Amino acid sequence: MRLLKDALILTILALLAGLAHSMIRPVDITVIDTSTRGEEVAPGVVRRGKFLFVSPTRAHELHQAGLTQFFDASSDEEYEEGHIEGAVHLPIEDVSEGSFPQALEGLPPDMPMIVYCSSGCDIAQIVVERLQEMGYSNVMVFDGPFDVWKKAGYPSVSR
Amino acid sequence: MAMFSRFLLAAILLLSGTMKLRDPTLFAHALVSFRLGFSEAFVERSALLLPWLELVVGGALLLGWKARGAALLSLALMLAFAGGIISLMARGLDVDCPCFGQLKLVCSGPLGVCHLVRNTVLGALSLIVLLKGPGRFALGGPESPPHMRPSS
Repeated sequence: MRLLKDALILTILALLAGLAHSMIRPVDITVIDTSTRGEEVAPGVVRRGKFLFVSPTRAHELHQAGLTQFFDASSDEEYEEGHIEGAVHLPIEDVSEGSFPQALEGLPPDMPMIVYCSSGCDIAQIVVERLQEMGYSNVMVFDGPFDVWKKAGYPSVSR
Repeated sequence: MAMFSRFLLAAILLLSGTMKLRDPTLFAHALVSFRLGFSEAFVERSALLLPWLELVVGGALLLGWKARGAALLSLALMLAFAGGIISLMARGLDVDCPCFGQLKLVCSGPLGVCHLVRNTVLGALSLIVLLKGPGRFALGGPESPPHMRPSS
């Protein structure tokens, strides 16, 4: 009985701390279900919520054209393991609030950009959201993890 | 053994809670990736409440204050995390571990067997503290579970 009482006291303490935190600095996210079809806005590009998702085929065409900057939002280890040829590493900690990543230096605000990641690809969405907040207006999320690109035989760099 | 388990568990929970609170958005998005139908409001609240629960439980274990209650909560957390990992594996979903923010502790890559084993070890540490009490250097002295208390 005492055990449960102690556990309850600790839970209440955590709840109070969490509620106080959410009142001071709430978390605001947009839930994007990437399994939905979305609204097609251009060939190979669909809008889901506030993000544009680019299909692997279209992303490959843009990669070939060479006018789009690719960013890899994966962890250091995953990036070293393999990434899209020419992609610049841009992990989420580099775009945390108040910081300006070196990877973005010299890039104009309207530069076409595509962000992808290796797994748990909602990380790419967070990076895109933060790039948009920094003023980059032409940023898309790669629709799928890096594996899709690699399996399609598109140019990539592996360790 | 109980003291060692308590301190190790405390350190891991404090690290986990701190890293999640450094970037709650990352943790919130990872929760969304679980595709369990969580609402936005639930995810946004959980992204703050869960790390705080880890911090409070970790802090209580470190001090040895209400340590067995903290161990019970820690065990419940580990079981819930294990359930989440098994559910992801069963559905073939690749989700990055939001466990320690961007930090990888022992396991890297998408949530899988390694994370499940790590979770089981942490669950076992919780069980040791729950069954044996906090051990030495606990606030209020070593608190023994009822079946280990001397009868008067």
